[in-house]
Amino acid sequence: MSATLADLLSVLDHQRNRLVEGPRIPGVTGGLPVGLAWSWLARAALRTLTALPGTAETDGHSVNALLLSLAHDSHPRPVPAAHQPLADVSTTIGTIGDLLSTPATSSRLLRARAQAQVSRHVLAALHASAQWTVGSPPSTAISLRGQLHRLMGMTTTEPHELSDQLALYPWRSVRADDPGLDGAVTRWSHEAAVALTSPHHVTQLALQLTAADIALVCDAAAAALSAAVRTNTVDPAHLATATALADAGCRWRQATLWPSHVRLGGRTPDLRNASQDLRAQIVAQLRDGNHWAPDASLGVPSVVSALLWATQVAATAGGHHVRALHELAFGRHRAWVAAAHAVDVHRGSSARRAWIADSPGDPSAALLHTSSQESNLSIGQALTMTDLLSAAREQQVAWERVAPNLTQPSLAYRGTSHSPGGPMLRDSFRV
Amino acid sequence: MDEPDLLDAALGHLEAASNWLLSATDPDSSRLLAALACLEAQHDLADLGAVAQPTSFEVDQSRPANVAAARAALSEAVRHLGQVVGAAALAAKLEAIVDSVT
Repeated sequence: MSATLADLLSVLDHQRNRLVEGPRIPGVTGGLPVGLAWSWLARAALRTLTALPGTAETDGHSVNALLLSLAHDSHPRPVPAAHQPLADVSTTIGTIGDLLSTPATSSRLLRARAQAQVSRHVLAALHASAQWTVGSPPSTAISLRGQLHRLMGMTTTEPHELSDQLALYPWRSVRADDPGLDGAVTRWSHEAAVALTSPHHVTQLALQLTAADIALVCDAAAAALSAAVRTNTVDPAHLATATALADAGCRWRQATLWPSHVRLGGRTPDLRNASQDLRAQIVAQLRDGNHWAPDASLGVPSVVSALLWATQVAATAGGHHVRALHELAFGRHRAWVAAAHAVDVHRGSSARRAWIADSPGDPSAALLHTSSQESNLSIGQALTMTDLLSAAREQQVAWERVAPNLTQPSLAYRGTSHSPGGPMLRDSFRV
Repeated sequence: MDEPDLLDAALGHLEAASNWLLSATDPDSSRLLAALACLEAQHDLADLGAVAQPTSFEVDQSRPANVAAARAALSEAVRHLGQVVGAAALAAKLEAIVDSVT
């Protein structure tokens, strides 16, 4: 199974609700003090809140200092059963921290958006945890009460709902044996990397399959995002992103085409199997007969997020594609061209079914490389558009929150939580 | 036609099909899926030796070409083409060739 940041934040909200609505600690437990549970909780929260550079909606430094003062007990002792609700919250917050610490391709804008949402949910869970502990019998947490009251004063009581799930899509934990679409994407990208990163193993089929699969992923993401716009699940401005993704799909389709006089034979069974599995998952989960699935099932945030993540993974495969063709066009390893074509071009005669190495001076593979390069840039542009739209919406919301002090607009702007510093192209899409 | 000519013809049809499918407008991506099936069949047939396929230097060529896999891929391509508007004639031509791949 895969775990997404949105999934984990939903679990955390569920656990928070259990703390708010559930029973308090049933008197003195006779076991270890509740301070142990709070120590684990504070350590997990501290790590998660500082995992991404961003700004919490409260005084982040004060909260962090307070959590540091609570995180004093590092002995690996089991938490008593009576404190299990706190342990559950600790585990979830810790898992969120783990996920945020994994390498994810994201822009600074997107990280700030994700961090803002994570902070809100973690702080709300801390507030509920503190309230739950303070509401327990007085003997339970005598030494912590002062700190917990201060913590409750700094944190919010209710998390905002997941207002922009699209900002969370890059953080996804996927096991290679995941039976669903996430797993198929992961296995496919691995096999594509294996096939394309070795000049000794790359084949025409590997290059064509990868390009066509990237086109399919882009098409699916475009269809899902369009469906989400039609069902008002996401901001209508994301229609531009859907159009950009569809355009990227068209470009990758073109990059799949090879002229008939250029060849690079050989078999690629592992990538072929992974490609077939990816297509089977897309057909089974996202298509209805010969068409994309209806908007109601295709345009839900979980599907859109999964496909944006898949597009991001596809862009990485696209980078391998670009570099493989660069090697074939300009490196030591060459594609082959039909001798007939080369002879026709250079000397005006022909020879059927003979192949010669592509010319180093004027390689036929150069056009394929250019097409691949342009195609992959188009994916980067589409995904960056997603980030910018999210940021633009956030900026708009932030402005709406500011009192209409027209004399000092720049100060009001600086006081908002998320001040985008301008568009940034993702480094990983630069090839 | 003898077998090499049949395979050559099949390859020509498949290449034309995948080129057309990849170049045509495709709002629901059904042509892209059909093109992928054609690409696979094209490479499997070429693998049987109908067309000399130069390879990168160290690609593993030790395993023999799989006739059954080539026929299966061709059948899959025919099935996909049968679902694409405008590709029925091409699908029929290829279908006639499937049994000739021995």
